[in-house]
Amino acid sequence: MSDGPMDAGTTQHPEEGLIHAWLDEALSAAEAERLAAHVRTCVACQARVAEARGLIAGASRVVAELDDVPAATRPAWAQSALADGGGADGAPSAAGSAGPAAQRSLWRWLRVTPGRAALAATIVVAVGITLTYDRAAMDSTPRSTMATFDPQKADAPATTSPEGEASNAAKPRDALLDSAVARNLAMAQGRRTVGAAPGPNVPNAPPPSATPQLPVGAAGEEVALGRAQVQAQRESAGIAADRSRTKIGGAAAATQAPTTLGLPARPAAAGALEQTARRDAMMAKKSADAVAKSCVLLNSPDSDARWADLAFPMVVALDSGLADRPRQASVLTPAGEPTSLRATWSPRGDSIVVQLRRIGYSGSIVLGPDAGARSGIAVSAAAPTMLEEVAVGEPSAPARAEAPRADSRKAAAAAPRPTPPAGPPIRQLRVTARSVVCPAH
Amino acid sequence: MVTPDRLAVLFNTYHAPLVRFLTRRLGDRDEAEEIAQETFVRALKQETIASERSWLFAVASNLVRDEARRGAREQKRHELIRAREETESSVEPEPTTMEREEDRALARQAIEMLGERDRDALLMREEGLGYEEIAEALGLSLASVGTTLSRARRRLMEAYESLQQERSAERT
Repeated sequence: MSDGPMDAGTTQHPEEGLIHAWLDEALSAAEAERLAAHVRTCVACQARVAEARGLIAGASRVVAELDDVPAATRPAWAQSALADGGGADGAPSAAGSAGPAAQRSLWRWLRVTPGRAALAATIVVAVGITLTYDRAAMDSTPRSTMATFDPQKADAPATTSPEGEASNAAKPRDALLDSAVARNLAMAQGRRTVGAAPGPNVPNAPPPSATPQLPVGAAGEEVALGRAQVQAQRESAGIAADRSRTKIGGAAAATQAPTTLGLPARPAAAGALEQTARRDAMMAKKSADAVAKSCVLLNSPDSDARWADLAFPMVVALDSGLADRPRQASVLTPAGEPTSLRATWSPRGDSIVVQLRRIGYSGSIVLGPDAGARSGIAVSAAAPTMLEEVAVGEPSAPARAEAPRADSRKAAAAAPRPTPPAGPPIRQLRVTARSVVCPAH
Repeated sequence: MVTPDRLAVLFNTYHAPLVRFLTRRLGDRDEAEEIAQETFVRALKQETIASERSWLFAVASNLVRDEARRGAREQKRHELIRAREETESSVEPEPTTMEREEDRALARQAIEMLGERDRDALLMREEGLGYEEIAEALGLSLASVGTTLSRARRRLMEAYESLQQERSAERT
């Protein structure tokens, strides 16, 4: 294979594509040897080879950044391609002996610095701010401590020696300057802390199951009742999405801040109480209308029960949305591992229909009404069968079948297709469902 | 005809790299999974497949193109949802996570700046496809694969570093 002129021992240099093909080990042995011979004697080509090597490694790194998974999961061959030196594989070894010109290549330097330099600078700034944060927080007491704060030496321990104090005492102008610096620092740290009042010991969001610490005496029974309703509703719906939880927790933390921090609660005026109660009522209404991400554990008492190709039990993780509207859902294992199944969760009257979304399969689960945990029927089949049955009611009730629904895309995909692998006959499975806390994964 | 047994072998061998390729190409794992499955469904309908890996990647690339028009609309919706979630979130991500997200966004922007053929060739190569397979999948001559890859790599790095410089300038 050759994509450009190259003749070893002459002044004709290989094209860049050929160098890449060589480094990718895509050349025949004869071509590779000819190119290697040329590179050994051509300083200019040694630099070009080094540059190409840097491009290959850099491009691999950029592409790997597209992954949701850590870069270590890249194929082994890609890992070896990223290895420095390049003497491990055949072709690059020739360039590896390219000499100082290769070491001086711009790309070889760039592949180290750009992202890491920015990252390192950010980390240094973040660490600096973090290290000075506690000092600035403690500074709420001692102005004299602020006077010893040296912004140029933020990492240095606070000056406590008599000499330092004497030096600072001799410079009253520094106290003003340092207090201004401390104010700016406090403002900057305030921007970094979102959702809670600046200051020490910002309380973390309580878990959904935690008993709320209600300032009953301060805010009144209406407020307490409203919050208890919201909390109970949240628990019953199995709301456990981290973001939403943190948001709610953050708001609660901010509201409870005076109590948590031990500040005396002032006797609230009646108007203020009403406003608070009204706000809490609105929060409860919003929570009733919009539900956050929640999870439902589906199980079946039947033996070898499967939905599509996934065995029960399984967890259906519902996306956030309105309670009375269809919601998208992903299907997880009970341990929280993702599966290839997805579903749509749709309330229909008192029942709930869970529609399977997976290419190659058709199926549904219908959960009948119940006071607590629901129960229902599940069916699924390979796509060619195009069977979709819906049954409503208790497991013992007779199933009701609806007419097959034509899904154009699946039908097109399944048109002339051989018989799928022989599997168990299509059957209706009894299913139970109950709300669970979404598994972490 | 590709038998179910053969399809199972194909699936076990190529599903993971195909999903990774499609995830890198699309930036959406769920969509990548769906297109990968669609690719295998189409494989089941084939009478014969000469070069299985290049055929699967070629069909997946074609499906990506088919989905592109619909994907543009979906992407806009996803961005709106994501923006709303970010607005609603009261948790500031860890700096390292934020940096990683920014790097990923830059990489996504850079890869999108490549021509389609260059991008596909580069991503296929990153999945370990050989020059012959890339040539077959993309309808290129074997001799031009090296040129395509070198151009793609150079442009990707230039775009990525340019974006990094822009980001640095914005910060300062």
